Amino acid sequence: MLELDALDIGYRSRSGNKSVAGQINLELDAGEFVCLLGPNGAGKSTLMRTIAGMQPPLDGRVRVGGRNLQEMSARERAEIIGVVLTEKVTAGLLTSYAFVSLGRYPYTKWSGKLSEHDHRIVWNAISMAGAVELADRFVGELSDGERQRVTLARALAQQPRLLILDEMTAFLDLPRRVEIMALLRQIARDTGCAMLASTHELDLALRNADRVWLLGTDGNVRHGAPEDLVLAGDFAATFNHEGMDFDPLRGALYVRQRSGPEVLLCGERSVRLEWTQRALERCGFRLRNEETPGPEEIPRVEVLGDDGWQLNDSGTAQSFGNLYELTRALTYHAEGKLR
Amino acid sequence: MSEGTTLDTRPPLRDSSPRTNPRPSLFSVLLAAPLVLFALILVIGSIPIPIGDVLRFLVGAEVDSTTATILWELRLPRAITASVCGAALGAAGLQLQTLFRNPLAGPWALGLTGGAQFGVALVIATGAVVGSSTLERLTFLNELGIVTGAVLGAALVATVVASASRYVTTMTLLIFGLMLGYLSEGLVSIVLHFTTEVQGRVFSSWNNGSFAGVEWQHFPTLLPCLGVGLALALGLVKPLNALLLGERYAGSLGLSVGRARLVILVGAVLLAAPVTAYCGPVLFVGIIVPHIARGLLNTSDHRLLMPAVMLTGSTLCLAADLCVHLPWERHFLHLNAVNAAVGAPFVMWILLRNRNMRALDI
Repeated sequence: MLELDALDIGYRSRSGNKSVAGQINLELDAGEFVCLLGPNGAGKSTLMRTIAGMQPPLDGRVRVGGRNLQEMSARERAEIIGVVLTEKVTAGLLTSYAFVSLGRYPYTKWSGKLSEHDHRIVWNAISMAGAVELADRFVGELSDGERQRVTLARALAQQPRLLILDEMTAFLDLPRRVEIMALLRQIARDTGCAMLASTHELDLALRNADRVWLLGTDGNVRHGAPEDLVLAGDFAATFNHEGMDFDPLRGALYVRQRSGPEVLLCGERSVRLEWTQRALERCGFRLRNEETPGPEEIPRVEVLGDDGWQLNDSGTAQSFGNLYELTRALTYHAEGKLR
Repeated sequence: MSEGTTLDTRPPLRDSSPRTNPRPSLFSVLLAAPLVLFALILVIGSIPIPIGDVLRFLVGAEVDSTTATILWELRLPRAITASVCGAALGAAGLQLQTLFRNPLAGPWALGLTGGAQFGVALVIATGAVVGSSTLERLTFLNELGIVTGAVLGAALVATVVASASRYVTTMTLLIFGLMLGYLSEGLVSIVLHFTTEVQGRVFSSWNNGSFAGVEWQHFPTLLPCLGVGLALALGLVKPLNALLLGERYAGSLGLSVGRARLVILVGAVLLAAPVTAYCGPVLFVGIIVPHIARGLLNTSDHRLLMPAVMLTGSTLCLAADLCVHLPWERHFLHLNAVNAAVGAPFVMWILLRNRNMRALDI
């Protein structure tokens, strides 16, 4: 559906071209839901705009359905590519229905009057995006999550074969983000529309994307199934430049801890152990375990099944009923030692 | 959610678009209002004419010669001018508000009117300097010169405003437009130094705005200009609707934004400049008419809004003209005095309603 041939993206200016990323060779199949991830400044938006035809490539080709994007007219492009942008639409006195109808723009005559067929497609787009109850409401009255659904419906009403979604979940609360991502994947499956969504939501992308395009600040794009990229260490390679550590077990980013007091953590592998580890990391401790015990004098935290935690420090033992008190005590001890 | 790519096999959930369809009665009121006011203008004035005489005159029957003269020479041209100019200013205002996504845009607020004034002043002054006697004999040419001057002046300002709109915010653009207006005003008074005293006086009365200065001989120039502008406005409803989404979305829908901007601006100039050339600067109409129409129809859809602003604009200008020509005791009011007295508070109300200028109702 979408092919990028030796694509070089960036900006043209009088003082010369500034390339953001070059030699990109990728493809995207019909019905596939791909997430574009990468640190800020890597050129995600530039790549999205280039693929949407809003910005010319510096070199190479974007081909959609076998045709060169640069050789298509704006109207031909509109019949193939739909976009959802970050910017909020402020058309106050349009109902959601009228707003979604504008998606039929490339197909209607000079007055923009919709045929029966067009109306059916509009309703279909609205119901696919789960926005049926919103149809009568003015776009200006909608919440962020509702507006994103309507915006998605508008793009779907265009009947695109490629849908480009730029930071669609940016303004949404967590449940809405989860919902929208799952919805996007579902729609890609159902309609056979190829979808490319740029996002900052590492976790959601890992759970929903068929494939991930990982754009690094070095201008390299790594791609593959999200799990393959994790296993191959590509996430780590991309995000470690940012002073972040990618934890392949949890599939999440952490701020890198280079210093900080050490703690020995022991216990059976369990949910309790996992969250104890998180709590200690969050409070700035570097963890060791029984295989890498380290020097004798570091505090030792033991997870006691359901009974709580035991802290052994400098020969004294203390029990704790919750992690808050445990981390407070540990921090207190560590600060005492520093003094 | 199990539809395939061909989505047309499923029946629609409802028949057609809900809520946006305004009551048909509303459009009949919008249509009736200018007709009633048109009739009132013919009837009311310093010399009242009975409605029976007016009707008899309109169908071509015999009326006494004074009545016929008043109707034919004064009131009928004035009423026609107010109707078409009101429609033109309303349409120009709507086009500019949507194009610049700015609820206070209008031919006057963005300086187009000022530019047209400057163009007219320049043509008049040139005439005054370069042996006006020759030019004055060629009335039609002179008139065409004035209209051309107005169009060029307005087009110049429109170009400046359009390029500035790329760099400044909503409010800044308005201040920019106002400054351009003041600049034109300054240039106009400089240019007027080079005219004769009589011409200066004529110019300053023109500057107060009036629909009364237009005579039958002017219509062959005025009406085609405005006709083209109004037809263009109706033809632009689809791109204007797309522009409601912002330029980037409009582009993604297949609109070539650059060309649409150009055509919309040309249309607005063709509507606003001839009105200014013949009636002087008519203030506030272009700003407030689109808001009234939106308020009545409760939609931003230009397919309904564009005809509605034309009718509302006519209504407003006819009403203002009627107000000016009521049989006042002492003297006539100026058209712009009426417009400002109604328009300025209205604009203040719009400002209060859109306090943050972000959730714009356009």
